[in-house]
Amino acid sequence: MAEEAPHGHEHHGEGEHAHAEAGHAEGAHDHGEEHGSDPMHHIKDLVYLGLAKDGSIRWKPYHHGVAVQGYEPAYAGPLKLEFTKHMFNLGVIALVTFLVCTVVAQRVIRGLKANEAPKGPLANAVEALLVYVRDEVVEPIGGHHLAHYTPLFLTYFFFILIGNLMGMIPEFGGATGNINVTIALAGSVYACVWVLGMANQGVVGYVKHLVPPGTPIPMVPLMFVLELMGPLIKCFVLCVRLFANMIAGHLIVSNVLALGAFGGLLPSMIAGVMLLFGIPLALGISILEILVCFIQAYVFTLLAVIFVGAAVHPEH
Amino acid sequence: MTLTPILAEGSGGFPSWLTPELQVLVWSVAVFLALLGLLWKFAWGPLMQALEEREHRIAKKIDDAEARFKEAEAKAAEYEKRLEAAKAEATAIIDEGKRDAVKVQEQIQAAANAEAAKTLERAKREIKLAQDQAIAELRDRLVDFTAEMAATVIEREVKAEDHRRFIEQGIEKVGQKVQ
Repeated sequence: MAEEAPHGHEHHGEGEHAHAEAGHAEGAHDHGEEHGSDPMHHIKDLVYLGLAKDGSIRWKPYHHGVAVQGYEPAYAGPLKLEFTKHMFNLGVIALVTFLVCTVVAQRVIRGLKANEAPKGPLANAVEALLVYVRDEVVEPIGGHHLAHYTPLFLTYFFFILIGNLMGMIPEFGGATGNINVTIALAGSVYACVWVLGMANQGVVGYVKHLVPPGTPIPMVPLMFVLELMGPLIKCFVLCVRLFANMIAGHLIVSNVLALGAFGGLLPSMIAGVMLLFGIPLALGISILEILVCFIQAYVFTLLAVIFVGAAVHPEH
Repeated sequence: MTLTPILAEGSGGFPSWLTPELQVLVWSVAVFLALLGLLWKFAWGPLMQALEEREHRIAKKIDDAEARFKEAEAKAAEYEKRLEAAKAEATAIIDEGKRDAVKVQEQIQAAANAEAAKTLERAKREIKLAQDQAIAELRDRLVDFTAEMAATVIEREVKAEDHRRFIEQGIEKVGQKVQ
C-alpha cells in the first residue's frame, strides 16, 4: 500500500511521463520505468509482459508497483498483446476459486453419497449456500428452468467474492476493481439474458416478450426499443456498481494513508499525527471493506439471477 | 501532488484506471468461462446431482412411509370390519342357538305331549278292552252260571237251544241294566 513516503518527483499516472533510467533502457521505445511508490498502484493495472511493435518481448519480474512501460505495444486487432497484473490476478483468483470450491464440493458430495450429514463448518456452509441459492434465490425468481443454471450463479458469487477478498491483500491488487473485469462479468450476464432467454422461450417468443402484451399499437416500437435497452442498462449498472464499490474502498484506504504519506513532506509531528489517525481509520475502513466484499458479491449474484430470471420467465 | 494520480490521464482521455483495455476484458471473459466450465464439471454439477439424489431419497422415504401408513390404516380398517363381522356372526349364532333351543324345547314338549296322549289313548283302549273282556267273561260266566242255576232250579232238562235263548234274553236285560 502507500505507507511509504513518496519519492518526490516520481508520481505520475502512466508511462508517458516516466523517466528513462540508466541500465534499464532497452530498445528505442523503452523510456524506462516508474518506481512503485505511487499510492494508486493498488488499484492500477500494470503491464507485466508485453509484445512490442518491433517484435521484442518486454517483461519485468514483479516488483512493487513497477510495470513494463514506455514501448509501443503490438496489437492483434483491437487487443494489445500484453499480460497485465490484473490478468495475472484474475488467473490466480480463478485458480483459488476452483480449488476451494472443488475441494469443498467434493467433500460435501462424499458425505452426501455416504448418506451422512456434511462434516465440518466449510462443507456445511457450502451445502447450505448452494441449497439457499438454488431454493431461495434462483428458483423463486426464475422458476424451475433457472434452477438448472444455479452453478452459473454460484460461480459468479464465489469468483467475485474471492476476487473481492483477495483484492484486500496488499500488493495483490483488486482485479474486481478493474472496470474491464466488471465489464466482462456484467457482459456475461447480458449474454446470459439473451442466450438463456432465447433458449427457454425460443427466439420468436423471446423477441415477442420484449413488448409486454396489451401495449397500445402506437407504443409498440417505443416499448420495443426501451425493452431492448433495459437489460443493457441494467448490466451496465451492474458493472459500474461492482467496479465503483470495489475501487472506492481501495481509493479511500489509499487516500487516508496517503494523507500520512503526504504529511511526510510536512514537519514530522504533523505527519505522525496524521498517521496516528490514518492507520486506525484505514484499518476500520478495510474491515468495512471486507463486509462490502461479501455484499457486492451477493448483490451482483442476486441481480444477475433477477435479470436472467426475468428473461427466462417474463411473468415473474 | 500525491493525490493527483487519481486524475492522471491514461489513453483516450480517461484516468488511467478507467481506460478500457480490451485485452483485459477478453482475458476476463476467457478466465470466467474456463472457471465456470471447470466448476460446473467438477464442483457444482456433481454437487447439485448429489443433492438432488439425496432429495429424491428423502422424498422416496417420505412417500414410502406415507404408503405404509396408508396400508396400515387400511389394514386396521379391515380388521375393524372383520371384528364387526365376527361380532355380528357371533350374535347371529347365539340367536340361532336360542331359536334352536326354543324349537327343540317345543319339539320335545310336543313329542312328550303326543306320547302322553298316545299313552293315555292306549291306556283308555286297554281299559276299554279289559272292560269289554271282563264284561264278555262275566256274561259268559253268567250264562253258564245262570244255566247251571236254572238247571238246578228248574231241574228239568230244557232243550239247549231254548236255554240259550232264554238266557240270552235274560243277559240282554241284565246287560242293559249293567250298562
